[in-house]
Amino acid sequence: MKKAFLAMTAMLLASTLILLGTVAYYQKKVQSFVSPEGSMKEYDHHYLFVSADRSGMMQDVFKAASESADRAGGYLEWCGSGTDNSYTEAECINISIAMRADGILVCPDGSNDLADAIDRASDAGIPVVTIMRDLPDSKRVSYAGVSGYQIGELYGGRLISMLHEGINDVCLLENKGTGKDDTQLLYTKMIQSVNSGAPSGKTIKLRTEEVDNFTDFDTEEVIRNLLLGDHVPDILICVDSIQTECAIQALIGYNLVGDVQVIGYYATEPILHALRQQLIPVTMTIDTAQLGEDSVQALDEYRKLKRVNSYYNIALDSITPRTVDAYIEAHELGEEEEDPLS
Amino acid sequence: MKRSSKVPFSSIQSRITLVMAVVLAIVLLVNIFVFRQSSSMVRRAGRIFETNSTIIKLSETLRSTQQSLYAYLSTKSSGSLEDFYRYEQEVKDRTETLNDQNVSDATLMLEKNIREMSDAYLDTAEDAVQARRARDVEEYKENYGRAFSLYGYINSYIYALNNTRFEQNTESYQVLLKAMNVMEHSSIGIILAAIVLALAAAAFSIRDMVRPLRNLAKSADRVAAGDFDTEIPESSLHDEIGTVTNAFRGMLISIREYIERQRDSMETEARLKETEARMKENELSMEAHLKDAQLKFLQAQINPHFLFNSLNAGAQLAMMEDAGRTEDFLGHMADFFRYNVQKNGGNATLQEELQSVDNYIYILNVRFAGDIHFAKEVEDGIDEAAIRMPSLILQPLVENAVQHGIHDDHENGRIVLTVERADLGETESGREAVRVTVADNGAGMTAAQLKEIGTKGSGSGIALGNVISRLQLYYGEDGLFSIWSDGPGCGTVVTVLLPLKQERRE
Repeated sequence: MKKAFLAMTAMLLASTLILLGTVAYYQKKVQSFVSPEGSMKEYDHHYLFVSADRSGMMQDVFKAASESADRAGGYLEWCGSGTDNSYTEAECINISIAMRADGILVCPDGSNDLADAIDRASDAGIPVVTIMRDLPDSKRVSYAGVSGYQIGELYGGRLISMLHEGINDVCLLENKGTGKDDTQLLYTKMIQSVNSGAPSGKTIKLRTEEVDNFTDFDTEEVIRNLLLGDHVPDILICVDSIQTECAIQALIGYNLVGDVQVIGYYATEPILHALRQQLIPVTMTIDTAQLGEDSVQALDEYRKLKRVNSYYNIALDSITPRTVDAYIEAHELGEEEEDPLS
Repeated sequence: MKRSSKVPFSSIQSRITLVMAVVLAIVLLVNIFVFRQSSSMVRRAGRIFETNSTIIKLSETLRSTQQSLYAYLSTKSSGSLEDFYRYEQEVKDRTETLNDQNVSDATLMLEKNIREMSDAYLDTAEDAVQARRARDVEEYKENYGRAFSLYGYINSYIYALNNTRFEQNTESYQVLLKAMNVMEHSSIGIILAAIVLALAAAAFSIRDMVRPLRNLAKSADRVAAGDFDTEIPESSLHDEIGTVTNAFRGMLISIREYIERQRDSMETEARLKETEARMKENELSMEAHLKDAQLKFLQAQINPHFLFNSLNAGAQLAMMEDAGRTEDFLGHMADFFRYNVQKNGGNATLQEELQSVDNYIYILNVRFAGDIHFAKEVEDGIDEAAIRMPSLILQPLVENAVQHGIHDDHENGRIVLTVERADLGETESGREAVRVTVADNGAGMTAAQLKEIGTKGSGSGIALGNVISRLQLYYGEDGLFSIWSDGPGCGTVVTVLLPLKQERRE
């Protein structure tokens, strides 16, 4: 009788536990799609991030800017994300106006109508901050990035150590739509740096190659044509991470490692791997966290004070095979053992 | 009934009803719970894709708005304007349900963007309508172009939102399906567990209820097997089983007491039977005495037969020689012995008995030269031939009177045989009787001799004991023989009662 009673009690308890467990499981599951985020955060401001460049560097900039905006009570949204349409930056500005955004961060793609769109946003009371590339003729309230002068000086310095005797054919890849002023400034400063620092007998012949847009396919085609053409450059200078990754892939694919030296841009995982493998001698990098933070700060400052610094300078640095490990360690990057380029 | 009314659920019926009610309640509650959960899940499943439906309706309304705007701008018809305003209001109503807060959820931000862009679109469309009314062609064209662009953006965002919602809802649906699957299995398990539990509870409860009945049945089996010493403890239950148990216990106690009484009664009866047996044994002993007497008679009959034949031959010889007295003597001798031979063991009439006594006295008088003084007195009205009695009763009595009474003094000795009616109630059976008395004035008897004769009937050979036994056997009652003497020398009186209307017994 006692055993039977214990068995019945155990069975009753087990049934009750199953029942409660099932109800809890069901409630939890239902709750998970009734309110997916139990602690959904609310923001005071809604900022739009407009960029046709979706390279890794720009992703890092967006991430840093989002975190900075989040800390300041703002929500940063990459305009057009989630939609199937590929809007131009001007269209994104128009969309931002229609959304009654509280601010816009835009990385100009060089399109002609962007300045007008920025002006309309400004007229609608929406502050616009340009990043990486400036549109000083528009009504943007501020710019955060590096200057052509800065880049030219750094590239020139790096070129000196890479030159061989005689004339070195240096090709600079240039994104379509980049401001002529900036490019001119970069050219000038680069040549000036080489001329002032290079030993006698080592000179450069600088040329540019325009890349049509930010898509990988077009960039890859341009670099392929360049490296397999009649005039293979001695040194190839990339100005964004997509160009750099395409160039590294081409060096490996066409067995040009050592024949063509590539100066990369930014520090994505494939680029860092190439540095460790000594496929490329150097890559330039900017502090994306600083860039994201400063750009959002510029928006916040303008929204509060209706005035802001017109230029936030971001530091530019270089990574070589010798310093790549220190860079990875400093940025807590876990480089995979597997070759990302393979 | 009174007890059960004091104790709730004391009867088996109410307890079984309670158990079944609890069992059904458990199963019912579990079923209700499962049913409610299932209904809730079904409702939720039905609502999951409501958001997609809302988004699609918003998209359709926007398309209608855009079409009516285009129609109005093209034709300026009041109908299209009316449609425009109607759809415009509908768009506003629908977008009001969308999120308007800046939140960290990308989907909700899509809603906010759609809501804001829809407002901007409606404002722009309104501007276009107003410009069209004002016939400002450039203005309404520009506004229409902007509205068209916005309409495209909104559609793109609506499409994105719809896709996102659909993915989320599909995922939710999958989650819900899994949850429903888990719930289904769990529900089946719980229902089975509830049924098993309920049945187990019912079984245990009923077993508890039936256990006293089972014990009672075992006790009843033992009682049926004859074990009346089975102890049945008094039941404290207030139900029917308790009542039956206590009633059975009472009945068993009653049976035990009854058996005890029966045992006592049987022991008493056994004792009585033993007494009867002893009496029977006495009777058989008497019969043995009779047989013994008869044997002795048979042995004694050898001589009488021989004598009887010899006497007949002598009588015939005396008659041929004209010896009359000798002939009479031998004739009486022959009659006497003939009677003895013929009636021995049977019955006779009083007349034959008296004739036998006369013959005996004649013989004795011849023998003792007429010294025996014998008198016979028969009451008038007594039909001696009609009274039947055992044979050889009176002659031994007279012989005893001669042998023991007047043996030493024949001259003075007197023997009187009296036959008279007995008084009513003189016999133990109360029957009418004839009293035969043989009295002598001879030697008499001592009290010890009288007592010996009274108890054993012995002391005088086969005579008195045999007479007493045969009288008792013949008439079936005691007290028919008595003997009295006032003491030695005072004579002896022997009385024999012969009940009348006695059926003839051979």
